[in-house]
Amino acid sequence: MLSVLPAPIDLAALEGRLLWRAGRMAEPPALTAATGWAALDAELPGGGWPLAGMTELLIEPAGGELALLAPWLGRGREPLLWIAPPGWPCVAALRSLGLAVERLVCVDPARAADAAWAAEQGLRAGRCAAVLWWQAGPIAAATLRRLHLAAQAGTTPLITLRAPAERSHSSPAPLRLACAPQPDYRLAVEVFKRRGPPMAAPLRLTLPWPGSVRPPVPERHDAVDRPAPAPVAAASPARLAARV
Amino acid sequence: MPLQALLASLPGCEATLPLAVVERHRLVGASRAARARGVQIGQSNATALALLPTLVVQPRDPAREAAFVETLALALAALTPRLVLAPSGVLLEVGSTLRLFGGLRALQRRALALAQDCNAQVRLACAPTAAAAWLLATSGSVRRRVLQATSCARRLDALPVAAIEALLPLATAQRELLEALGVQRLGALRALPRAGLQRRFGTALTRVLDRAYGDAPEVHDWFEPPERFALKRELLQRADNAEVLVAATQALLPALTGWLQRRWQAATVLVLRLGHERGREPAPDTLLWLQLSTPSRDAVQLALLWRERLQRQVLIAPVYEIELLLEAAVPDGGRPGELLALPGQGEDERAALLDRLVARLGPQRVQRWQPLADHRPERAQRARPVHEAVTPAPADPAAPPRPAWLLPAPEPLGHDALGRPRHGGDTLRLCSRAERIESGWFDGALVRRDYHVAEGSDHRLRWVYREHPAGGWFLHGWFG
Repeated sequence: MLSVLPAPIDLAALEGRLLWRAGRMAEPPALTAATGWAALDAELPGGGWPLAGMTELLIEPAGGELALLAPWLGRGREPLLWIAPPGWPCVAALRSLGLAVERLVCVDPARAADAAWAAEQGLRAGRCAAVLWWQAGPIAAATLRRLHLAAQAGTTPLITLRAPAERSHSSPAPLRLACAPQPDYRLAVEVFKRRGPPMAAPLRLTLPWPGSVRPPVPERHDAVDRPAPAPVAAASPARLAARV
Repeated sequence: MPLQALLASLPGCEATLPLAVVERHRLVGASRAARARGVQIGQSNATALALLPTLVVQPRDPAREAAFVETLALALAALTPRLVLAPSGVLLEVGSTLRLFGGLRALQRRALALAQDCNAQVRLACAPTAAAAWLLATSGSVRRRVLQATSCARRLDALPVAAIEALLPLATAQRELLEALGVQRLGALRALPRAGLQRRFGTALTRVLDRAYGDAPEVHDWFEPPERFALKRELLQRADNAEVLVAATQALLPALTGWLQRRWQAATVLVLRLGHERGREPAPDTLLWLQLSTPSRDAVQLALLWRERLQRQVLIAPVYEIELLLEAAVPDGGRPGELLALPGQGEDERAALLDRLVARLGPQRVQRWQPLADHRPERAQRARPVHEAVTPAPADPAAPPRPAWLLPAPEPLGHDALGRPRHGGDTLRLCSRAERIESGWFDGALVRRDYHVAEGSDHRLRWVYREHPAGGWFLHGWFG
């Protein structure tokens, strides 16, 4: 008589790559790179931006995405492929953000299909530091899945920048962030999809003020002949520290 | 052979098109589709047409066949520097390059692949002498690869006497004489008394036999590729979609890469001329340029780039003829193989990526930005083609704030009762001092503007300016 009983599954042995508990942060399958924001690193699986696969940033165009990504993008020497950026990238601003202009390759495709094609080429070539795609409208789920697979297979991460309204639509990206600009040049960042527990509250990151000139405390009698601007909130000590 | 030369100009329809080549009212070649319907080589033109009224009949064109053989020779020039053109084939001296390509079998595989890329169906034979290889290839014998002189002689001995006509066309009288002698095989012919053979057939026959058996030296007239690469291919059927053109262009690329390899060069600029119908309303030829950021002689990469380029092209008229021209090339000695990747090796792949993007999207849509020395923001940078190198501007630690995104054209804004700018129905709050930019008197594009950083109720920062003195407000950029 032979009896075959399934052995009890040892969950602890599976934990790690195959299994993760929803209450804990998972180990990402690929390498990650520090974001340059300590508070954000603590909220991302693996402690940084994943270096393979697709990551979604839901943000209004020109809502502070470059300031958020610049500490990471500024490292390295490989080219950056920017697809359908929302305007001319201003080289002086890129310099102050620490992005070398000679690394930048901008693609301005006429159709969304061309943009997806260009993104896939950039991902498969494996020679770019990152591919950033500003998506103007909704993109077919099959296209996104295909791009996610291409990004996973290679060593180039894809960052898709989409409108905040896309939050209710599903996406194959394992990491999705919603960002909203706040007063005082802050950015509220909510990681609403990740391999880990849900976030308690959005992070509030203080972005560095563009350029070397800090915003002045408005004076009543300005030298320039114009109506006095509305009063601005006084700079917080944290912001001053970030600027130094 | 006559059929193949014709089929090479009909990419993609070998299997379906009933096609026949006619010389002096007799069929000398018929495609598989035609043979399946009962058409046979040797039939008269009228018989074949009676059997198959849809048969496409083309006269034999020796010039087209010669061009086809030359295309094949150019492609095979990648394997050896020494080739000989024959009326219906190419002879390659491979003894010197066997080691380079990893042995005879590897070399044969490569040769077959190259021929296939040229849309040619070939029969390969290999022997110690060129004449023996030619005899084996043309006689239709099954085993066509011999390496030793003794086994080569055995193999030649077994060939029928008629095979010699591939090397030496015989007169009718000589052919009848051979039959009268009763020799069946080349070995028996060679065993006949030499003096008698020479008296009856002339010295040419014994000389040819001696060369084939390696008893006499062979003298070859080596093929020299043309100085300038230009390869024309007439399309038998009009091509009005990109796929046909892509297939036709791909068939020309092995010849191009063979030519480049032969001369140790790599292409930088290629031109494809599309010849349109010269009918009642002749359309000018379309010239397509392909500029490569890194010189290349890789057929796969070039095929990919041409595919993207052709698919972008809108044809003004059906195409009847294509011509591939090499416009510029640079010397290229190839790259040594390395076990481990060295830094800088990714350059080629990076350039190949940019080439692919440009080929499909067009040069205006793939750009880099070059900083320029100008105070006016819209003139402080310029979009350049992606192949041009960009020099970074010197860092300026006291740079005033600049938005990450500039609008290509400033957008006029309204203002409220107090003169503050409004954008999207929402009054903007200025949060920086004015930055006066006043420049351009020297080139007629004077700007006098006061720039501010402004925040809207959505807390996104904008870069706005007011025309000085006392003009309207404009939105010029976004801080991203």
